[in-house]
Amino acid sequence: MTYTVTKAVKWGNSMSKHANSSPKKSKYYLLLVALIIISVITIISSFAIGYYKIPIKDILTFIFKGEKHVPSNIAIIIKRIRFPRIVAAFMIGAGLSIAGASYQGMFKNPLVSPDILGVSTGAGLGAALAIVLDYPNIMIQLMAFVFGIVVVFLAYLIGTRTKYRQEVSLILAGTMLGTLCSSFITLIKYLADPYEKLPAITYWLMGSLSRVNNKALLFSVIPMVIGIVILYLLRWRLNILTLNDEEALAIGVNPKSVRLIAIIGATLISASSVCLGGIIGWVGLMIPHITRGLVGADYRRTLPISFLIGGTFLLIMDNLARTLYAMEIPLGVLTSLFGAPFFIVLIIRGGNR
Amino acid sequence: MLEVKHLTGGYGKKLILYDINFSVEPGTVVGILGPNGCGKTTLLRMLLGSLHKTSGIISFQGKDITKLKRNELARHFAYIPQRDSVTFPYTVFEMVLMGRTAHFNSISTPSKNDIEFTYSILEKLNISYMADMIYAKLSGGERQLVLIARALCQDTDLLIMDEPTSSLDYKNQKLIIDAIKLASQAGKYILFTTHSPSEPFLIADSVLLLKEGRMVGFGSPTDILTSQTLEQVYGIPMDVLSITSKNNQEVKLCLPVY
Repeated sequence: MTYTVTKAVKWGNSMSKHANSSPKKSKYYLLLVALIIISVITIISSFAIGYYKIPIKDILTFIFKGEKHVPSNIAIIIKRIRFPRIVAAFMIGAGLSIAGASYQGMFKNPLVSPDILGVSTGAGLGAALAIVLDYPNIMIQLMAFVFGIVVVFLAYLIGTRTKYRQEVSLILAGTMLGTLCSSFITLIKYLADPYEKLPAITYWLMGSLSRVNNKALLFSVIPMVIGIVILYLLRWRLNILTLNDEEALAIGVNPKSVRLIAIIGATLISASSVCLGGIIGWVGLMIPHITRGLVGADYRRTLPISFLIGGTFLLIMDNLARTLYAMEIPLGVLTSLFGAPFFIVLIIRGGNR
Repeated sequence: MLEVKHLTGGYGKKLILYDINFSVEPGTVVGILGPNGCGKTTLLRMLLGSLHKTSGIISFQGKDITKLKRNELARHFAYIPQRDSVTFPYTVFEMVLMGRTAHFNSISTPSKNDIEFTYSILEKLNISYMADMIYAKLSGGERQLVLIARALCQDTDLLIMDEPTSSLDYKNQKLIIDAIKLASQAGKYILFTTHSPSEPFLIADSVLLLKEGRMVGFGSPTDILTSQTLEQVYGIPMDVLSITSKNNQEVKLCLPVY
């Protein structure tokens, strides 16, 4: 890199303009544009894929000219079936990835995933209860959402009782509450009617987007977008959170309050993801790693890139889930199939990204 | 001027420091010396506001620092920790840029001016070549320099350094000492802790000598660091030697007598 030498008399009294032409920065923008293009192509072509094949031509006509110009059955498939599912897959992948990236930084641990504070198992418990109690679909979602948030809230209350090294006690509290919830889930499964309720619970927990419709999407996407906006606004502060609390304080950031806001944002994202698609693991762990390998650790770049890669990745996984086999493969199973080997490689390499 | 008066405090009900009094003039370097567990780090924590005092006053330029907001305090005091805590592959430039955080609001990101300022600090310390290197992969001395750069980037009046030269080899120690001198010439107040009694002679204008949480003395190193006071603090016989160095300067050296 070429930085012109400045003759600053006082500290930092520099007049030169050398920061803008950094090759790293232009490389980032190139990657960003490339990923946006890839995301858009993936999203559009996902409409074509499925049991009922839709020609790309019809999809483009639908987008640019309106639904009147395509056969009504195709318009209905695009609007009612493919649209909610594709949007849900992309948003869940994108959301979980930036939630995971934020958690990894603030817990100073690259092996942390968005459900570290118990949000998924909490949501799972809520859903299992709702299924056993024979509640309607919308209540299953609502209970999953509320339980996920309550468990994180409890983990936060317990974890912040300690004065120093709160990151560690938060993780411990979250893991313990998660264990507690999963024992309740097991208990509910054990007691549930084995012909109807048990398979429903099991299938819900596997994670799948097959039950997504426009109503469910609307209900979940709002909190998810709020969470994403919160994390995006915090992107610079998230960098400071990766330092220890004493350094962060000295830099002028109160780590406790920033951490709380970031946890709220990440929880809104994960809780709404879970209530939409059940437990979909590994995305939030894997994507931030890949992103850091590409653009480094700075959250100003990590968040947008994680968002795009995560969204595209999960959308492709969901396309595979619904087309690979005559019967739909649970999405959570597919992401684990990719995720677990990735994790193993990470451990072998020392997990130092 | 930084003034500390009757400062007492510790962790919860357990007091570590009792009745500390000293003051620091602009452009001077103050060393805080004492054996392990004498309360050096506790004192730094109280100055940085990460630990609350029980009683006493810490005032800076006439203001009570405990009444300042977090980011206001960060515009007056910067901290250079002894050990860093970086898990992620931040570049040196990004690490140093973090020092600007107190100068913009919570949801903003660094402006062009912040970026310019950061580059100028790297140039001042002659580490521009490191800008794109991964911080976590640097050697101990280089990291220490980057942390100093980050603190300078914070553009404060006062720098607080926790054992800046410990665990560094001689060449790196010299780099750090040069950086301290540079900052002090630029009119900054510098406070550093050390457990090497010879070090204040090299760089400090005054020294605060601590033992078990109480101050033994505060003043110029030659007045305060005598074999009597050092013996009192370290509990073993000590010699203070005067020798002439290669470049014909008189150097004082503290040696334990085993």
